[in-house]
This record gives sequence, structure tokens and C-alpha cells, in this order.
Amino acid sequence: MAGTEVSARVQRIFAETLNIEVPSDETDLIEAGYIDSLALVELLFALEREFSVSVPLDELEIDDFRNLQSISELVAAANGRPG
Amino acid sequence: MTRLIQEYVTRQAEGRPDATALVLGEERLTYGQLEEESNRLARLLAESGCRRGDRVSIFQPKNPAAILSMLATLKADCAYVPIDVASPAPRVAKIIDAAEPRVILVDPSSAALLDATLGETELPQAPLVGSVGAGPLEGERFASRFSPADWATYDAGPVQTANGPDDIAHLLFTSGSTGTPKGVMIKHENVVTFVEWATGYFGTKETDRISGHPPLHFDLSTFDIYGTFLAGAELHLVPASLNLIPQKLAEFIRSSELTQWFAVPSIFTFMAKFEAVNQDDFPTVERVLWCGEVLPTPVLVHWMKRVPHATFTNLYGPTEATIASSYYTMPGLPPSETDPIPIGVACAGEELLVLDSELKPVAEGEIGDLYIAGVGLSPGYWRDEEKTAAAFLDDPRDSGARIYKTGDLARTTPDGLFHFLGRADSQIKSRGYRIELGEIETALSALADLGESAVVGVDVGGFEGTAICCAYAPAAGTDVQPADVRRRLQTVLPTYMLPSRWHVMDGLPKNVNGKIDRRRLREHFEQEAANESPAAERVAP
Repeated sequence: MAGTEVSARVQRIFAETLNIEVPSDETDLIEAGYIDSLALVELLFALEREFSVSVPLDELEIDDFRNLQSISELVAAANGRPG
Repeated sequence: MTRLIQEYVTRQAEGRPDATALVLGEERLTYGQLEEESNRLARLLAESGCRRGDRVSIFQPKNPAAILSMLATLKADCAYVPIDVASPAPRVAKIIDAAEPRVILVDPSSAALLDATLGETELPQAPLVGSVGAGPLEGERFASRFSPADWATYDAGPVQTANGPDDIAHLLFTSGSTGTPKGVMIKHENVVTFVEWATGYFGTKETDRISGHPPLHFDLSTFDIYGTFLAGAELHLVPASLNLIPQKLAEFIRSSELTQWFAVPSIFTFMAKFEAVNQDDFPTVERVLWCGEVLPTPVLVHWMKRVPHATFTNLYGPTEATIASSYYTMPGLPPSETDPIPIGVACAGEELLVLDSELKPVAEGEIGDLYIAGVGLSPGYWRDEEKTAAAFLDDPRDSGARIYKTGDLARTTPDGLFHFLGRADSQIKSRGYRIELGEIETALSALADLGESAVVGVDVGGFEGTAICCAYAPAAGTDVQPADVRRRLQTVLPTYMLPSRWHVMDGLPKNVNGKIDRRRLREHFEQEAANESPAAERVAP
């Protein structure tokens, strides 16, 4: 999966599943208040569905979902892991 | 007897100046430092024109400098107004317009918010801005008039104050049903009476390590802060970003070796559902407290089994009656997971009353409106006599005394305990935040491309408590999407008020009176939630 494709799909999850419009790939989702605990949990479920990956909450760092780019990297890393 | 809440710090600084008062990450402030620095800043505030009764706004996230700023404000005989720095500027501007602060104390992380806020305010005169960051701060609409280097030159000795126990210590703004936040006035005496009772009841001591979980604009933080200072204990401020990952919160409790953990129920539920609490976890924790909304009994049982060495206490009470007005300590595991937890009995000096519409007591077991009387009652809402008169009534039993109408429904049981049974109006609690659905609806009605819209609170079985659900019909000829509506709401409302569930309709259902049928909307969202099967739905035993 190309990075830009993942990023576009993550952006679509935000818009269509979470109803959140993120201005850019670099927007700090935490500082700008786009993500709270509720949105984060919904995001993880949506990522698991969309990409068929497992993203366990207890292995996450806060910086992993700082912006769309870091979330895309997270998905890419989860994809590369043996399931 | 303590008269003013800042005296707790002065007393600790006299006896134990080197004891740690505040901890945030690597940052620590001792009681001695806190006392001296706040004395200096108080003198500078007075010299900058702050007079007794003036307001000082705290434009800072939860950190030691913010608490220092609050103490300095009190020592200058002023009242502080903590600002939710995660709120959008238009909402903060409403609070600033109402509070009319003489001075705003800002730190670098909130300078952009202050700039945007000053662009929205209608104040006749811009407040003076002081920087609590490393150096001076400047924005497009402000330049700080002083910074820490300036107050470092002031005398650190004790400050003479003119305030008494009846003076206002702080204004806490809560959601207002018409879209404008209401400022609850809290007197020194209100806080003193609660924290003296609570620290006595809980046996709070110097060696305690207490969590500072809620944000500073939340009245529960008042207990964390002044309860800690009274006891001479350590307050460990919990960074807000940890709330995103339950395992991080658990790690914070462990590594800070907390003895008291006090948070809102959604945090307990979040940590339980994601298995963040291990068996016999948090060995140092002696007390677990919650307040702000209903803690689901299965979640409480989960915590009580995993942390069997701690006592568990439910605190209940609105901001208007200061921190909490009743308490219930679990005598043991609840007999059944379907039994709701009582809100218990009144704290010392307070009284809970269940009354009918004529303010007469209802019989035991009958449901009625819950009123609070006693020492916790706020003098009322800041500069709003109408709202004050509507909520703070004359005590029908005692002329001259007052009772506060909580808007909650309650009943008592034969054991003398009070039980909470929901709201009588459209106020909800979501993730511990008290939200008037009317404030969200007011923001929606300002969007021109929406036809009809309504917001309902629905318990969807998630960890957040009540979910905020929005139904709307686009205006004729438009096709406005929820993401777009949400984006625009985010510019005027804090994140915790944004609807999490949406339903776009051609027209909203009406009842026989032609009004929007909120019951049917609630049913729609309940049905929708029931059809989903979210992962991590159940709490492990």
C-alpha cells in the first residue's frame, strides 16, 4: 500500500465515520482538539475494519495519532506485522 | 480556623517549606516556593491596578504556574477565573466578556487562544496581560506588561489581605442552556467548609500523593488543590493527553505512587473496558473517589475487585453547591451489578432535600426534585440575578436561608440514603462534563444551511456516559454533511460538546403539539446503537 493511499483512506475514515474534517496531514489532532478518548476508540475500530489490522490500545503511544501522517505510519507498521 | 483558602499554603510554607506541593512531569514546586512566588506575583498584581473584588483570568493549562497564578490572585484580594484553554475563542470570549477581568495571566501555549479571544470580545477596555511563561509574550492583539523576571524583584514576604470568608475566591463557568456560559460564584468559605470536612473524613495526611485529574475550570479540581494544601500533601497533576490511552493513566497512577485517585466515571469505565487495571494494581492507592456522573455498577465492581485494598467513595454535587454535597463509601462489593450506587448522605453542614413542586417534602421512596441547603451554596450566578433567583430559592422552612434546585431527580430509601434518578431537564453529563443541550442547539441554529435541528442525549452503552446525538434537516436546496456541521460547531463549542452521532433527515418528527419529537429521536439513536456491536462492549469481571 502506498503511503498516500493509506493517508487518503485515513482521511476518509475521519470524514465519513467520525464526521471530523481534518484540515491537513500535519494538523496536530490532539492539540487542536480533534481527537478525544471517544473519537480515538472509534478511530481504532474503524482502522481495524478498514485495513484489517490489529491496533491494540495498550501498545500505543500518544504520538502515534498526533496527525494523519503518524496514523498512516501506524497502519503501515501494523500491516507489516505478522498477524 | 482558616478563613481564606490561600492560608493553607502559607501555613505549610511556615512549617515545611521544603515539602513538595505540586508535581507535573519533571517539574516540582515546594510549599516554600509556591508561597514566595505567589506573594511576589500578588504584589505585582496589586501594583498593576488589581483592586479587591477584581477578576483575574487564568489562560493556562493545568500546571504548577497556573496554580501559583490562582494563589497570587487570591492574595491580591481578587477572584480567579480559570479558562478552559481547549475551548474555541468565541466561547472563551463570552466568558471574558462576562467576567471583565482586570488582568489576564497567560502562558506561551495559550497565547494564540488569547489573541483569537481578544479578537472576539466586546470588552470596552482590553485587560492588562501578564506572562507566566519564561519571558514576555506578544500576539497580534496583546503584548504582556510583565513576566516572571519582573515579579522576581518583588518582596516575597507575607501579603496583607483585606478579603474575608464571604468574598468570592473564583468564578467557574458552566454550560448555559441559552448558549452563554453561566459563572458560578464560589466564596472562600464554601471551599473551606468542604475541604475541612473532606480531609477529616478521608484522613488526608502529609504523606498523601493526590491525583489532579480534572481540568482547572472543573470544580472538582478545587478539592484536589485545596485538600492537598490543607493536608500538606503532594498534588500530582495528570496531563490531559494521558486521557486518550487508559494504559497511560494506569501507568501514571503506578509511577506517581498515588494514594488518592479522584476522577470522573467515564475515566473509570474507559480504563476498565480496555483492561488497564491489573489484579491488585496500584498498591499505594488507599482511596478511590469519583464524582460528576453515574458510575455504572459493573465498572465499580471491576475496580473494587482489581484494587481490593482501596476504599471507594461516590461524591455527588453540582458546582453551585461547591465540589460535592453528599457522599457514599462502599461498605463492600455491591450485592448485585444491577443495583445503582446511592449518592449517600449529606456532607457536614449540608442538607439534601427531596421536594415536590410546591416545595413540600415527598414521602420516603417517592421521586421528587433534589434540593441542597447549607454551607456549600454559592451566592449565585455572576451578574445574573434572574438565573440566580430561578435556581436559588428561599428555604420554605427557614426565612433567610436558601435552597438550591439541582435539576436532578432523587428519592430516599429506608436506610436514609439518597438515590439519584436522572435529570428533570435537558442537561446531560458526558465524560464528566456538564452540558446543556440548549447550548449545542443554540450553536446549531446559527448555521444558515440547516433547516431544523435538535440535540438529544442518549445512553448508548459506551464509556462516555450520555452520547450527544444530533438530528438535522438540511435547508432546502442544500446537502450539508455531518462532517461539515461538526467542523463549524468546533469553532464555537468545546470538543466535549460536539455530537458524536448524527442523523440527517428530510424533516424532523413532530409530536401532536407540533414540537420536535425528541422522544422519537432518542428512540432512533437508541435503536441504532442497539444494532451495532462495538468491540470491548463488556467489562471483564
